[in-house]
Amino acid sequence: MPPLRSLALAALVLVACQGAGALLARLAPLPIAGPVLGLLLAVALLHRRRDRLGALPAVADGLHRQLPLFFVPAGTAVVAWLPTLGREWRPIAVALVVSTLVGLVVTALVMQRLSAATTDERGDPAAAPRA
Amino acid sequence: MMGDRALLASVGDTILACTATVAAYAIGRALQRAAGGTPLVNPVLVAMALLGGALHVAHIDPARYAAGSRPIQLLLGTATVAFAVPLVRQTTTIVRHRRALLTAILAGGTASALTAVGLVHALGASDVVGRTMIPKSITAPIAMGIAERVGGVPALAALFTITTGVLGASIGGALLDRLRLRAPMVRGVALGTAAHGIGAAAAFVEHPVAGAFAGLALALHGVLGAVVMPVIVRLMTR
Repeated sequence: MPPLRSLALAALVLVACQGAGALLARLAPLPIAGPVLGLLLAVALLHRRRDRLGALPAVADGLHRQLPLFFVPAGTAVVAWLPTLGREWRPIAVALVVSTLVGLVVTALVMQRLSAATTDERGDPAAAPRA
Repeated sequence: MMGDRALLASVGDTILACTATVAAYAIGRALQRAAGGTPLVNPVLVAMALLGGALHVAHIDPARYAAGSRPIQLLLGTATVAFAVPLVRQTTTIVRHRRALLTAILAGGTASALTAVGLVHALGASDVVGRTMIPKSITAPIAMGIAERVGGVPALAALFTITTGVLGASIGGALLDRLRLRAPMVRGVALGTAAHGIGAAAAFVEHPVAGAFAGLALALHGVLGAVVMPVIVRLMTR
């Protein structure tokens, strides 16, 4: 692969992986969605050149800044489900609130327990991932 | 083959649908800014309400809007693939904390999915709502694909995940304070795992380390969930 100096070339890598993932999802009877297969392909492809990603981080950051916009169309299809939501809003609301609290607490407690050995109380900024 | 007139009409639909989508989202962003940036005013929920209302009032078939907004939906796939970039950039961090990260994300993700599915079933919701609950704490673009594969509804999954994100971001900080969990890494992983992108945004406001770990956790949780959830559901319903 050439150095990914230009934004267009970096974007092309992502789109090519997206296309390959979509194709793979259609051809193979895998339970995984096309874009996620594309993501896994991209990880495999980029893993060895992870210190020479060129313009890819800029492209990925740009896409992720606008991410919420991209699921507006799919989310708008929820209008067809308003009758269901009207009928079942109570169990849905209870399940969403309780499961979110449970998820937060369980993740935090397990993380606290398992990371206590390797980091100090305030966390370990030196081991922090790049923002 | 499409006739000239049909092609023109479809180009017109595309321009109109995409413009309306971006405009509705921009209004949502402006409202959130006006409200001081609180996660309670979510730009996507505002945009969904505006567009849904507009389709209803103008008697436009939602399928026609969906076809017109196809280009924006394609970018959703590209943005999903782009989660590969933070993952490969942070390989060292992932390897260093692999045991804690993977165990915490799997435990938290499983606990939240099981609680949600168990509660909706116990409280008498329909099967399709139960299935849609499975990926509720995963980032919306990946959750919609999972929902489709486990017999749920992608659009409902978007609503459930956004609501989860808003809840986690609004009350998560206070909850973790009460439990005296103060390490930015712990808080970040919890917010990213349980409340994906919206939780990660709240984590970034708290501390840059918390934000970075939240981003990492939401990407890992998304990949793990996309691989594991459909397989488990397929095995259980066989």
